[in-house]
Amino acid sequence: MGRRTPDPLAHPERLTQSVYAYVAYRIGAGPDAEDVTSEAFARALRYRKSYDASKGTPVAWLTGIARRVIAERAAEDRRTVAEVPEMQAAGALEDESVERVTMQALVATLAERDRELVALRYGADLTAAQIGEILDLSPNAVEVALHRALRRLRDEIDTAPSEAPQARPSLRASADGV
Amino acid sequence: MEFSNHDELGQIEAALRSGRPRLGGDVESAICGRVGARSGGGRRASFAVVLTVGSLIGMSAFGGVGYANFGFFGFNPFHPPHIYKPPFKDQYGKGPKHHPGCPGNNKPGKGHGYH
Repeated sequence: MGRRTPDPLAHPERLTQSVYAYVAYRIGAGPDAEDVTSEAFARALRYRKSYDASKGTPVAWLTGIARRVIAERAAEDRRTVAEVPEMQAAGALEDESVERVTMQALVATLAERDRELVALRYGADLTAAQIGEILDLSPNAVEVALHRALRRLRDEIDTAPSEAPQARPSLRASADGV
Repeated sequence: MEFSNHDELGQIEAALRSGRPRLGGDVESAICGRVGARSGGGRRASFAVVLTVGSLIGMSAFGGVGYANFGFFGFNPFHPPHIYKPPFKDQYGKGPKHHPGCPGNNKPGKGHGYH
């Protein structure tokens, strides 16, 4: 007797934030990221019966769909450069929001490949193994690539203070060895 | 105080996690609402199951499923209607056998025919 396939969208409230965080780290937060997230869920609804639990978790499945939506939009419109929110506007925001905007701005400075890794790991909160399945890499290769991406991010914090003035004073302090 | 390379990257990791972009409440509600509306079939099925189980429990509380079944179908499988049987049948199950040669038995038995 075959087992019933679990509904991948049984808990959408848990998934929406993860998928949106991934998309926003990839293409920048805002209406475009919301559109991509919405489109990813629309496709997921259409193809929910094709979900195979043995191949991955619902969030990994949805992130894969969101990834394809981003790739298709990029093919349509080559304007894939992240639209980094204006840093001047960040001054009016609360601390938490400032940190969010700052981290997005820093991630946007990374190369496409690094941004993808960071978005999958810290946006969608996927494991190295799950990322490896999406990117066709071994978990070890993912860990190494992520480590390098984080180092480049740290270098960005060190070398571009004027471009990201709010870039986590604590991070810069630690980078300075204070 | 000197931070190790590991500490620095750990702080960046923590900042990336805590600084995750968040979806606005209205957009999140819209997506969840759309997904929830499409999931209505599953919910309806669950509701039907809950209703059925509730009915069975209710029926059990008022005399059991058999009793409820009797009320609904007029037939209770657990207590079939009593059919009158004469005492002879109750005791031996079948009717009286006709043994050849017995007094009062006019029918011949197997292999005992009159020639």
